[in-house]
Amino acid sequence: MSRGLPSLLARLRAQFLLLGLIPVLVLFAAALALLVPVLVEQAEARNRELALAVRDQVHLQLDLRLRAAAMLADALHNDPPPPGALQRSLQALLQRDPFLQAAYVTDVRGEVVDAALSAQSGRFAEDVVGLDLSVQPHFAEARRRHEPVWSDTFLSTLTGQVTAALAMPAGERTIVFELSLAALSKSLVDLAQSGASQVVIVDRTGRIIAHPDPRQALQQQTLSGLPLVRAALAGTAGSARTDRDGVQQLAHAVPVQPVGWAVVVSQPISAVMAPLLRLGAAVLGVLAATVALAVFVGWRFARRTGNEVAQLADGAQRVVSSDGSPPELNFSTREFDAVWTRLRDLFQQLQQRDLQTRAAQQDLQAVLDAATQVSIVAIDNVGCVTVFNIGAQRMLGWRAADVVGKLTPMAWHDQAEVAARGAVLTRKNGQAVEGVEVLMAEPRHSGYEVRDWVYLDRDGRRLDVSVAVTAMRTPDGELKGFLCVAVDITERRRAAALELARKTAELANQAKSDFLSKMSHELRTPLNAILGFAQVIEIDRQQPPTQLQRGQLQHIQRAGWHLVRLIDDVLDLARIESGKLAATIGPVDLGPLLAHVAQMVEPQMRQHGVTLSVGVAESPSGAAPWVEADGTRLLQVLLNLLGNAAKYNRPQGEVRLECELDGATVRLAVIDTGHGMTADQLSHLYEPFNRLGQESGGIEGTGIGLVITRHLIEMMQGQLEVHSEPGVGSRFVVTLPAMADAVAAERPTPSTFDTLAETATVGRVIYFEDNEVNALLMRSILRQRPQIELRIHSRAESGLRALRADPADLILLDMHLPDASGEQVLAALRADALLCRIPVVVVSADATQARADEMMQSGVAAYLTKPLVLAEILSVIDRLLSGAADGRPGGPLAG
Amino acid sequence: MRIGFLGGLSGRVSDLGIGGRNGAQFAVDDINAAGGLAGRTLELITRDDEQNVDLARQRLTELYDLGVELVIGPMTSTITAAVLPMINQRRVPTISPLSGANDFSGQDDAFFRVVSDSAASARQQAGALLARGLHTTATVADTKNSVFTRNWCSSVSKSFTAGGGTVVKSLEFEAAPGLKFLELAQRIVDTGADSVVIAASAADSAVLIQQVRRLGGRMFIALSVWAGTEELPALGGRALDGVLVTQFFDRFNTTPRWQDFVARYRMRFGNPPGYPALNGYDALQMGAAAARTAGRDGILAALRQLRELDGLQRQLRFDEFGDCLAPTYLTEVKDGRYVAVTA
Repeated sequence: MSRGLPSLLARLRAQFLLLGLIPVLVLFAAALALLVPVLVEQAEARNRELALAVRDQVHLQLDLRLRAAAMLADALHNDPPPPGALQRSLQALLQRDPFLQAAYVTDVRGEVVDAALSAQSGRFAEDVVGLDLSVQPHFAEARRRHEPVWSDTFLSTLTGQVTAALAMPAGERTIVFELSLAALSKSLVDLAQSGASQVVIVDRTGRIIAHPDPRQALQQQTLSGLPLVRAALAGTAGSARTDRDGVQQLAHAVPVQPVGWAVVVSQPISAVMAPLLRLGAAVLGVLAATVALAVFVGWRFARRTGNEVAQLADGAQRVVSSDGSPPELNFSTREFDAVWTRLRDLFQQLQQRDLQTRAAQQDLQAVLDAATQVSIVAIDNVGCVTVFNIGAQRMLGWRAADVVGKLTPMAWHDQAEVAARGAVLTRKNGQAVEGVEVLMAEPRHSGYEVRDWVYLDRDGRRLDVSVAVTAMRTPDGELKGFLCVAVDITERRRAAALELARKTAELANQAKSDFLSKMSHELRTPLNAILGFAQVIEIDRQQPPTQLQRGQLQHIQRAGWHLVRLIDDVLDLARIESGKLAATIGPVDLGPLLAHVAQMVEPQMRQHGVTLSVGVAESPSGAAPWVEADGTRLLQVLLNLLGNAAKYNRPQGEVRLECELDGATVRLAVIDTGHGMTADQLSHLYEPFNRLGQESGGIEGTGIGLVITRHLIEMMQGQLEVHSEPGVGSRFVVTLPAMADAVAAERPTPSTFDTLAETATVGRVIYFEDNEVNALLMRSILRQRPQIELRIHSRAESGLRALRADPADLILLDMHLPDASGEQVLAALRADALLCRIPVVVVSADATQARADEMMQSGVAAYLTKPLVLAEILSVIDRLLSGAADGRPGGPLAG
Repeated sequence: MRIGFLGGLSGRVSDLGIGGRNGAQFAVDDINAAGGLAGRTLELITRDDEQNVDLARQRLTELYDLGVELVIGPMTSTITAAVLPMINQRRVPTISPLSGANDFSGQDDAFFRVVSDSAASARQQAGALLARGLHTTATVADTKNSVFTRNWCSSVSKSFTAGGGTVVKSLEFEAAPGLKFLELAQRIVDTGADSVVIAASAADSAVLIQQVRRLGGRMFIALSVWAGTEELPALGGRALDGVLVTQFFDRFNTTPRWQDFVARYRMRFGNPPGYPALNGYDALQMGAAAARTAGRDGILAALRQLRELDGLQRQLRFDEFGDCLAPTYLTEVKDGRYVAVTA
């Protein structure tokens, strides 16, 4: 029973008792209210009846003596007896009536002349002869009124009995009877035997003169104090509650005339209520039994409930003290069983959580121990170190034993830095903040602070650290200290700096790429004009150039194309550096490719007075081998290598292009008989813009071609090997993955550019171009095809409108129009049922392969880059228009 | 506080007991109505000794067993003499309203009374006889209450003789069944004395005087205090005219206190109080007065210290033995009533 609280058992018991007693009390009160008036009424009626019966009895007793006296008086009056006869008559009367104590006959003066006394008196009649009765009030009254008169009651001097005397005039004589009222008491004895009622008779003064106990009558107790008795003596009968000797009575009194007495009948209230009490006792008995049974049952229930509660508490205590799993307990009620089941679940959950907590604590400890790279230091309210983990020891070079409880973090903080921070906090907080408080000021208010600091380890080495200071509080919210977790960010800062530099470089590179791309585009447009018109002039048959002019035109073109290649190389290099250069790997038939390459470098070879020989070792099938490569890029690689072999050769030197299959690879070797390279030169061979001392040699070049070449080869999963001997020559070997003949796909063979001659191609061509020079160039080019009708539109909107009004057979499209991009024009064409089948040739200054591939996939018939090669564009136009004239679909635009 | 009352409440002389009980009860009720004794309510427990010595001892034992702290009674000297050893043995203070015998005087005991002993009263009565010029006298004593009657008769005789008179005869009788009053009256007449002193109850005195006169006896008759009850004049009729009766109290007292008591008593009991009632009342008040002042030594010691009591009619004084020094009064019967007589 903790804390003085009542036990459940006691409380239940009290409630059962209360519940049991309330109906009993209510029932008893109801019975009282209903039955008491009835019982009182019945008792009053009984008292009244009894009083009247006693009164009649008194009347009877008095009348008897009165009649006897009257008869004697008559006899005396009418027939005077002879001497002695009267005395005998009196004696006979006394013998017949035991309550008659004395009978006298007086003479006219009132003196006794004859008397008879009861034997009880022990007196002799002659002793009272001569006795003067005249002074006695009743005697005098009887004589005066000439009628019988009863005296007041008195104690007889003869017998000691309560007595009443009757004086009956008989002529001159008077007869006096003394009647013992014991007669009345005796009659009351008989009446008193019935029931609890007590009957007494009182005289006119209220003294008891008759009582069931005759001795009580002798003692002459008075009832004159009772109003009821006084009223009866005054002639009024009535009932009332009285108090006699401390006992509550219900009484009734009736007057008795003519003597002026009263009969008083009373019975104790307890007797009146006896039936009620018996009933109450019976009801109480039954109810008590019922309540007892209920209490017993309730007590049993309460005890069992209390036991089960105790069992619950005991079970819980066992769980708490033993730390084991909750025991199996048996309860007799479903509710307690459910409570225990729930408690068991809770205990098990708690234990599970406890285990988890312990595991977490172990994990935490392990983490703390393992956090060798993190300094974890706990300090108390005043900054004194309380925890110093392994990481802190490693980071700062202090041993925990030298620090804990002895130092503050000021031991490893940069004092100047702390002072500076303290000054800031002092200004901010408006009060001095210094020393270790500088670390604690912010967390003290806001809970935590993460800040970079400089730590000085024990050797004075400076460390950049990020320190998180967290206020630690008790569950009550009381501040108990701070946890300082520091991470060494020296390396991170270094890495961040590097990352920043890298990003800056990337941005610069991107800017360079963007610049180069733009520059390429911007340079190609004027070069298109320069080279285009040079070609137009060179082939102008109406005004053919002179020999001198032709040579000059070729110079223009050579310089122009060099510039174009330079631009392309620079762009490629930029793409390589930015990782944007991509290759489209596929099967490439080396036979046609090598032939095309030989054809393409032939003019250059001739220019440098070098002879080119191509040797292809045939595959077992008799054909040239196939490789997995990007044909365009492979062509670029070979052109570069062969170009270098030509440029850096001796006059009348030789260049060999050899091809051989070596297992799963194909080796392509470019061998020259040039000056060769020293080892030192070889070591700088792949440095961009490093021309290995040839910068002033008069041989044009950029120094980036070989860089791009090697990159392209590696991109195609190949290798480039260089063997060079000064004064002998160099050998560049490209190794590429071979492809089996069986899987070699059909590859369209590049057509020859035999298209410069005027042909009779017919058709209508619309050219979307906003640059007037380019438009003029195209118009000049197509003079080679007089049958072609060329319309030029500088804006997309007008061009499309014209097309819808008058569809063309071929569309030439520049990708940058003032009012729309080339893609938008293509989309508009594709959406138009009338125009969607017209072949489209893109004429763009964007020479990137990716762009070309993208447009080809979107359904254009051809993608031509500026500067335009006349032979190429005329060939494309011829092909497409001839297709249109044959009624074949010109291109896949509809798809 | 329980107070016992012992007296004859039945029988031929029950008038003394009944009157004494009524007086004591009246005092108890007065005291209780005034708040009791120091907060204690008084309870009067009555016992009837029936004027029988054996019964008296038995009843007194009953009262003692009930734990009474004070006893009022007995009402006659004979009973007092019988129970006095018990009283002194139990040391329960006992105050008798009447018992006037000399035997109880001058003793350091537990017994007290509110009446003087007989000596002074008898001397007064003897003086009255001598003053009437009577020279011879006879005495008649009822041996039923011999302790008092003999005491009274001898006291009167002694004083009468001392005053020059002659006691010619000392008669005794027992008021018991079979007594022939006529014969006794004849013996009185035969003494030839010119006066007779009778110490008997009122009823017996009345009958005896009646017979004396009937036999022609003309002697002067004097009655002891015992006979001075209210009923006496009526009992004897004209035969009692001129009889000298010594009274314990002043029947003609007119003090407001007494008149108030008479009125209240009459209203309660229907008849006027006589000396038994008066003395019963005073006896209980005496005990109450002692109880009020009682210290650690109890009521008994307080009673011994009591020297005065403001009685209903007069100031009562007590000597060092607790014996009362109260006057008695002389009356004569005339026309059925008492009239005052000067000594």
